[in-house]
Amino acid sequence: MTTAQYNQCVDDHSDGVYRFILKNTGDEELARDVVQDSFEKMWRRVGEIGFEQARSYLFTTAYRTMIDAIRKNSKQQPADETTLNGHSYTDEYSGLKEILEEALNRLVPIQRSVILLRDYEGYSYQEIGKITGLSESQVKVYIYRARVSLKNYIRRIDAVI
Amino acid sequence: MITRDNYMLFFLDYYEGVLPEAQREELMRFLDRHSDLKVEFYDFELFELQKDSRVKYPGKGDLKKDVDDCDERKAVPPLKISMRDSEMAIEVNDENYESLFVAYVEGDLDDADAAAVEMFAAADEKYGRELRLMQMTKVQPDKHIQYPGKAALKRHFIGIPQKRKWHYTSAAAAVLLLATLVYSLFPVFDSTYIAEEIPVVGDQDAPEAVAATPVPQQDAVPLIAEAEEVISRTSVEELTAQTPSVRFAQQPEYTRSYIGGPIAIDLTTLRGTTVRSNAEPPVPMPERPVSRLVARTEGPPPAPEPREEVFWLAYGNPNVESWMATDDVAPAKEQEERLSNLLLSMIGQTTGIDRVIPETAEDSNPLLGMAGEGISRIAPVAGNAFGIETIRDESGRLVRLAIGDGFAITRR
Repeated sequence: MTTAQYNQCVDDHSDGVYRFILKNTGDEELARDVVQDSFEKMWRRVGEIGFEQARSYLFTTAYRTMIDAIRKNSKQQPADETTLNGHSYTDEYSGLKEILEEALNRLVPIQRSVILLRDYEGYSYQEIGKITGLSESQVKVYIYRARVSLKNYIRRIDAVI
Repeated sequence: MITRDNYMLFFLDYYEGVLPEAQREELMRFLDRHSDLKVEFYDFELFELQKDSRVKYPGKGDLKKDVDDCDERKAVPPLKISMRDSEMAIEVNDENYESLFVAYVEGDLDDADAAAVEMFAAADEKYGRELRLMQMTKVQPDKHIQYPGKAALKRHFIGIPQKRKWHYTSAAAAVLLLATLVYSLFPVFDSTYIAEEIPVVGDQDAPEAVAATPVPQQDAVPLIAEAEEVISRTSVEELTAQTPSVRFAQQPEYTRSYIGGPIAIDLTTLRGTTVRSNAEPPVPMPERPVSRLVARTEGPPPAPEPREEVFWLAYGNPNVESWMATDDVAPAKEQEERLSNLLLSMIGQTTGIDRVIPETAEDSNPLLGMAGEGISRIAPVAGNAFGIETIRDESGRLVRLAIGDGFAITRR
């Protein structure tokens, strides 16, 4: 990959990687650091990574960097389906987007990651598996569980509203 | 690979006609090796069921419909899916609808299954709402979220254009090579061959005043002896008549001995190695009437520059017979000549010499010719063809370097 192609990757993928990490963590500073770190790692291997593999490399690196950061940060407390059940719903939601955002935040991290990779970036099950280190079957299971959780959350909020 | 543990599967595939040709051959080879299984293999053929046309469904007539029923059925709106699709589509029920809805949203279902899911959802409002909710779970990226430090991530290569880089590389290589050559040679010759400068005979400021040196030998004593011998074969008066401006001072023999030697000299000039901004520009001198002794350079002399130049002098093809008294010295001189040529070649390759003046005329004297170009002094340098002279200024900077048979010249 040339320097020009590397810079093209910055234009093409930095926003996507940033959104992916930001939506996963809700931490802008961490998201910026992860993006910077990912591109820095790619620059160090710019001679080995082809332009076509750059996007996958960036997301894979960013995901793993994020996981490491989350593990180090004990403040990170992902919500799960049990907390969803105990949530007190309000009518402060103004639309589906906000509801869905909230539902996303309540998914367990791995489910949220696979959903974001699937919906935001359009990755296939196989590609998501490579990025997250999961098997294709595991990816399908997590996506299924995430969809059902999101649907249930939306249905409950929809009923309240 | 067919083994005794799995051969049954291959037998079945063989008789069902789905065993690939390669495996059929492998199966035959397997049976050859395990002949006890051949009976079992051929018994399989007996198990193949043949259609028994004698068995018929007895209530066929009851299943048939009259023409009116058929027409009535045509009035019913047709299904959205074809009968073939319906037969192949997965059955959607209360137990599996959720996973199929997810698969539907993910786009994992083929047309038949997708149609089956749609029909299932359309048939019941409850499931229809479930399917709509499931479709809402598709999240869209927020394009307003953008990475703020994009510009800082980019890399900008500030490099030297290839052509210029080549120049820099070449220049650096030349400097290194020159430095290596010079400083690897100096320790060898400095202590042995460097001689003190001899001032120009007579008035040093007179441009025509040229001091020549004897053809050097191994050391100072034989050098003088040889010079005196050459002098004896040279007419001082004749030389003086041809070069009337030359005034012999304290060492006339020493000077005349050289002038009388018909020596061919290769002159190589390396320009621009030292620069003195306050140096006076050389004064072009009128041509001197010494045609027999003065070596002519091809073309006009180089334009004078306001700087001191370094001249590299070396013998290219000295006529040793004419100035060496004895033949037994000749082999040594020829050896020096070869080494001199080699050294000159090395210097040329590493420093980019820009001028070489071959001169083979027996009666020429390039030094006198150079006197007309503004030479102010000539210094004896060394005792043989590899003599090296270095002159440094007060700061130790090398300002002059000469290699050759004993001459370094300095322009005024």
